[in-house]
Amino acid sequence: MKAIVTLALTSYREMIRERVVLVIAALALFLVFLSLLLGQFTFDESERLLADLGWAATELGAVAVALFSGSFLLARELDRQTCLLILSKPVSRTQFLIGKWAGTFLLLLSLVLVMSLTMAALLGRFSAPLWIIAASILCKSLILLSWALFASTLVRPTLALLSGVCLYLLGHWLGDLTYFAEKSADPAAVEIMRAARWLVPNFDLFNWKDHFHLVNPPSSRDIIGMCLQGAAWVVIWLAAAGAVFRRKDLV
Amino acid sequence: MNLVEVSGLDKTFKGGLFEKSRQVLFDVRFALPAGETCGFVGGNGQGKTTTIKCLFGFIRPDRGEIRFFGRPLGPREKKRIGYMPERPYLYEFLTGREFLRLHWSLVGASGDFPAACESILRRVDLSHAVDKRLRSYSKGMLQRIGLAQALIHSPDLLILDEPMSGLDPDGRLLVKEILREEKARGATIFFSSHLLQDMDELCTHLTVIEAGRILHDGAVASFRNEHPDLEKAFRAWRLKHRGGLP
Ligand SMILES: Nc1ncnc2c1ncn2[C@@H]1O[C@H](COP(=O)(O)OP(=O)(O)OP(=O)(O)O)[C@@H](O)[C@H]1O
Ligand SMILES: [Mg+2]
Repeated sequence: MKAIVTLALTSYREMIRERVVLVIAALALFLVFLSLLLGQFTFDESERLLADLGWAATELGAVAVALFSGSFLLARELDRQTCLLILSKPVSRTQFLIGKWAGTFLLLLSLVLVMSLTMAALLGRFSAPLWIIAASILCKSLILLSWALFASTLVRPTLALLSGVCLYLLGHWLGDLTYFAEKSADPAAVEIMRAARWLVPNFDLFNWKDHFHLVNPPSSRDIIGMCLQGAAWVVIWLAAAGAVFRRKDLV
Repeated sequence: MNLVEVSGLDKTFKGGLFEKSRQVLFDVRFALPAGETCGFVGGNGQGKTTTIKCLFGFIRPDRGEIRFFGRPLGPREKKRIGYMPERPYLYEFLTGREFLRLHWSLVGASGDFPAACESILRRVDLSHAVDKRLRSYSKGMLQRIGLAQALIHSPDLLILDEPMSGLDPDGRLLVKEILREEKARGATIFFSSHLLQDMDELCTHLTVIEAGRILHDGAVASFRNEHPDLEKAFRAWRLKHRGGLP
């Protein structure tokens, strides 16, 4: 456990200092400010616009960081032989993987926190939906991070990244696609969509950005459901990544 | 007593879609006696790095057995080993001190980290760069901080893959000096090199690998025989066993 914490904190520190991450964060923050500026011209809608753009920017930033760091994490460790150094210490491959995952988790957590707090400050609204939306974005990005990590144990990092983008899009279209499949009444299409539900996380469950404008927050049952779903996907893909990584030759 | 015992290692790298599989280790076997400085010699691409990676389980051998301190490698054994990989590139955004602290806490070393850090940095001559990021280190400096990381917890066994490659003459002298100190402390050292001169000066035990096969594993003296130095002994050895090649 101590090894995992040490690894997580170290890799968090490493990533924070990396310029790419800072650039993504700066870009996302810039988008928030831009939306504020735009908001000046559309008086009554300004708050809505800011919130929409701001959340979109937060999600984009978090998803980008998750997919990039997930896909390239192991390849870079192997490239620099850092993973050999760590694994020559009393650290198992599973601990190594979890530690690295946790480090990226901390990074995503800080990113989402900074963005959400900036938005809340700009809007002057620290309400419950703010935290729920932030949590849902974090959940989504953690699922994608775990997927990218798993994919990168099987294929090249760029391919893993691409597969992550596909998963992200598919996860959002799942509802629509199911709807079309049912509409077409083609049994094969319905079956395919039913199977897809087991392979692709339904990101509509994690999409609560509109709640920011609504008075009623989502029910706590939905929130818990979302967290459980997210955790399940993370555990499944992290376990799969571990299973492959344990068998790999680290050349 | 032997600190490390390796027997019957075979390794074949599986080819991809368009490559052939390739066996690179053939029945590799050797034993490292405690307290000695053991050289692992072989030309480029003969299988030194692959063998060392097998020792740590980074590469899974197809066959064979490896024992450290009489047991298979586990967390307890790992704590007693210091390792430096070939071409260490390390975490470039950490400072030297942070990098050493990471390894210090991963081996679960007890004791005073600042003191250990100071002393090891002095020994590898990096005290001036301790708070600089590894990114700004030169190749030789990286090599030396890599060595520091392997030594900081005073391990019983040191496994170093080409510790002297990429160093200038001063750097090589420094590393040799450190290896002598470690030996005096009682550590067993296993290091690879393709230069026989290094071995001649430091080693008491020699393991020679060629084309993935162990050609010799035993005392340096027995390999050197009546020859004045290892270089000549090696050449004579080759002539006898492989019938040629300069
Ligand atoms: N991942 C791999 N896939 C296929 N062949 C490999 C792989 N890694 C190494 N080899 C081959 O195995 C052989 C031994 O390589 P190894 O790196 O162990 O040599 P070495 O003795 O360390 O050489 P050097 O002195 O250059 O470091 C080489 O011929 C190399 O081409
Ligand atoms: Mg090598």
